[in-house]
Amino acid sequence: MSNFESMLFSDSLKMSLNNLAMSKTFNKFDADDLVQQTYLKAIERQDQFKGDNINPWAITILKNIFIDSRRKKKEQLLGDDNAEIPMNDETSSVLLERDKDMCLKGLSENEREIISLKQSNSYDEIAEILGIKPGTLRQSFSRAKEKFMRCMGFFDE
Amino acid sequence: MNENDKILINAYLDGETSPDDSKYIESLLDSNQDANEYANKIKKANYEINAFFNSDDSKELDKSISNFIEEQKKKNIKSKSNFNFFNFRFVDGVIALVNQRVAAVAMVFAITGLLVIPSFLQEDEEFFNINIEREGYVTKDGIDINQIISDTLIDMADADIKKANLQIGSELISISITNEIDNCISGNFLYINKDYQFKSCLSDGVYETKFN
Repeated sequence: MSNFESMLFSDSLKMSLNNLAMSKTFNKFDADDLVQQTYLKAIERQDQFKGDNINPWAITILKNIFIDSRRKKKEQLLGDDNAEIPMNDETSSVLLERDKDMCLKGLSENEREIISLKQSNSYDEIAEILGIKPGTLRQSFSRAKEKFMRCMGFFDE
Repeated sequence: MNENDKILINAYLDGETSPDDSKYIESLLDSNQDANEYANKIKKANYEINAFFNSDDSKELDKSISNFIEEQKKKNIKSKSNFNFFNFRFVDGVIALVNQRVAAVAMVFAITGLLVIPSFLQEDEEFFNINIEREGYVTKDGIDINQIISDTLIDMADADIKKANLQIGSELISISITNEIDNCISGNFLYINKDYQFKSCLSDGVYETKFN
């Protein structure tokens, strides 16, 4: 296996791509398509990769594919807060799940990217991937978390 | 508790603070009720966020992508190897037009279909497995090792394969190319538990092999 393939097929990149795709699509089937397309495009364009850290490059590919597909489908994936929640036989745990999804959807694209990447990367790594300063990242991450907590009603108690 | 404290508490709970900042936050959490409550809310938020990324859907996605990656690895290995091999055979066919000896081999091609059918071992990255049909290589004394080596070396050299396992019926020959100078290739091969040194030189489009 070439060095490129070793980096591309690493567990850490797979986890980052999976989490990022889930945070963008909120649907395992769409996320699956998105990640697979990312790998295929990365393989197709491997000649364009320069450097020794493939993660930022591959993550940019995923983001571009997502933006492109969203534009094509003209789907509204954000701002789903007004979606009607069925109240019939839903249990409270299911409602909490929906709240959690809605609150994550309510974050900005950047905020969700940071939160999803934090699942498998350090602050420094995320800062490098997103091309921002570590200090800025800390602020953004803290704000995103607080926004999520407010949406979840943690400050209403 | 100010905004900077909130940022630090968040980083502290993620294990991302310096020793000095950690000490500061620990003391703040001990002494400040608001900071303590804020930290508990962050823990709760972390729990919910982690639950989202560790849901059954996420686990199924991980499984699916892992399978996809394995398929891609296999495809990449095969596509690289197959291209070189079959590309060579086309060139070999052209050479056959001007060389009687290779023309004879080409006839065997036509009769038996594919003379050399490469099938590659995914689990062994160093040795390529090549299945060779016995027909055309059987003599009254057994298989014609010299001819097999000569015919295979031209494939290996063209596809830049240094090591190969040749399966001829139930017999196996393991070839390693160790040196290539001008039109000559040398190395060794293992056949029936004996190690042989060989040297093959290209002459009129075919390799002529000598071994001890």
